[in-house]
Amino acid sequence: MTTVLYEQAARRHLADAETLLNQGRLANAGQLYGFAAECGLKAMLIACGVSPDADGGLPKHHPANSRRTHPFYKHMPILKDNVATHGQLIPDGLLSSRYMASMPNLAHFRGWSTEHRYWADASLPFNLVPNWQSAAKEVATMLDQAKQDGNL
Amino acid sequence: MATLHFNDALRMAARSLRDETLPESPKIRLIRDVYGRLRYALDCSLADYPQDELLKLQAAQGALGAYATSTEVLSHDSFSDPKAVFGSSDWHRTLVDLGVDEDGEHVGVTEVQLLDRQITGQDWLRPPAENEVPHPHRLVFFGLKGGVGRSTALCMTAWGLAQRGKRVLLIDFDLESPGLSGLLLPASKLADFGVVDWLLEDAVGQGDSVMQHMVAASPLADTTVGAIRVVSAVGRDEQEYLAKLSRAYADVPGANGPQRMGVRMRRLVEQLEAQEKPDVVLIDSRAGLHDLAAVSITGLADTALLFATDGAQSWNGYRQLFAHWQHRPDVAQHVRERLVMVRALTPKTDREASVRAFQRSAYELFSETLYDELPVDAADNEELFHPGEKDESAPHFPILVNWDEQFQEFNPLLRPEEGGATPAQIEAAFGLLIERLSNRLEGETA
Repeated sequence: MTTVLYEQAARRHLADAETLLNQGRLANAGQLYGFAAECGLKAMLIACGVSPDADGGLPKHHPANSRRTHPFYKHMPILKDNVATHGQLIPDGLLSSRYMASMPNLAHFRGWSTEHRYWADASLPFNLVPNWQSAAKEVATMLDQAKQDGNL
Repeated sequence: MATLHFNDALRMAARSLRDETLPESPKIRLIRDVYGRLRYALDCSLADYPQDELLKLQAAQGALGAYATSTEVLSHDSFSDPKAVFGSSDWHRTLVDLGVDEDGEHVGVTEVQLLDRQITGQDWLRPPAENEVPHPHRLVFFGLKGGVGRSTALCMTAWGLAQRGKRVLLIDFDLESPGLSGLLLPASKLADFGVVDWLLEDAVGQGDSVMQHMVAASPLADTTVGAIRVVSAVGRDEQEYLAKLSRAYADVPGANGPQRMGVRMRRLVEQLEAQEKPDVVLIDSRAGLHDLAAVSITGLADTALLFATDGAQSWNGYRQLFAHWQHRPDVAQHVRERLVMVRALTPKTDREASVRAFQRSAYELFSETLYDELPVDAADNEELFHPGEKDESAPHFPILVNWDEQFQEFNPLLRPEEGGATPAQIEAAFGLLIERLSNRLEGETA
């Protein structure tokens, strides 16, 4: 069993984000929506044939050039852009386009950052949390599809 | 132990469900993944299911070997939105033949709820929703292979219906082998855009911008009282067709989830119908067991004309397709009354015997697959759908299209004085087809 299990982590972050949101804890709910989407995308990449490292996670280095970082070894929102840009690195393009089509609102994460965890409440873009929530739910629906397809 | 293959896996998985100690509810379902592997699925939480029975299911799933997706029995816990998964319209009541037991006795047929996840071809099993918007009659022209005169028959049907005053809209969905428009339009009369352009523009949210510029009037209808409006696969002066075609089948993101090819094609047809207001729509389907044909026949057709010659290739191919429906009774019931066999290239010599043989084969094929089985002591058959062999309105009863040298490498746009066909020749070869389709349309509006 590998340490990293993106699918489970994605579903866990989403469930916990919902719990936090229901209790009015918007700041950390927002962080977890972003991580839910990130883990979901990474689960999709592996389901579509991107080779994981020994831990089950995405490898740190570019497959063709070990001095460069792997374009999928990123957080949101850069990760979603790189998935679109570096599509040629995904072995099963047919499946990935099917899954990508079920997540039309990944662009919502443009205003999301891992840095938010250091920010003051007053500086956080709370108005964006509903957008992050809906986009993270799309990612979860995509995971449900991949699960039925037997790729997860 | 013998290696389990694709066909055995579903049978084995279904056999295990006949264990009478399994709870009545929820009924255990099956999800077959894109590789053909299976998992049981419970429409409840794992915690609400008896643990002993769950262990049995896991063991039965494990026994499927390479055809078990994993050891996990799926349940509400497996998904983020289990309601959507278990409520999907892709679940079908599916008949599974259980094969024979150790004594060689036939065990029977059982029914399971199966969600069949496919890479392509899902549309063979996706009939339109019950609450479909009203639309003109759609005639789909389909053949398992090319070269049987399907496109010529389509053009001549368009002409025949225009002769009878109909406004005919003709759509070329044979994207991999586009050419229908060449039969109906001189190159200079082609519309600016074709079906492939709409598919691409729609994917980036501007399908409407080409809608007005993708229909052209065919001169074939110039001498008729009706009209033939043509939507071709390729637009005028196209230089990038393959670059477009290679992107045309993508799923497109939409507000309510991804829009699949079938949904998009339906939307295109509906928008063209709204714009053109035709009396009848003729669709040239892609040949063979392809996704585009699936959408056209299962999803769009009011009448699907199945072109065939009397050969093993035709009958075997149609048998495979019909069996696919036969195992899903709900889909079969929707589709079967829309089908009409067409005997293409009916020979002139020994015609009567040849027609009889074709009719017989077609009847046998339908009887063994899509028609309801007749009970031996059939007292009351009225509920059953099983037309007689000689019933001329039955799906199996073939419409004959005669072989005529005139129509080989034929250009319908040529006038008779230029070497084209005369109305009498067209009637002789295609009159039966035109007449029967015309009656079918009238029957609907009457």
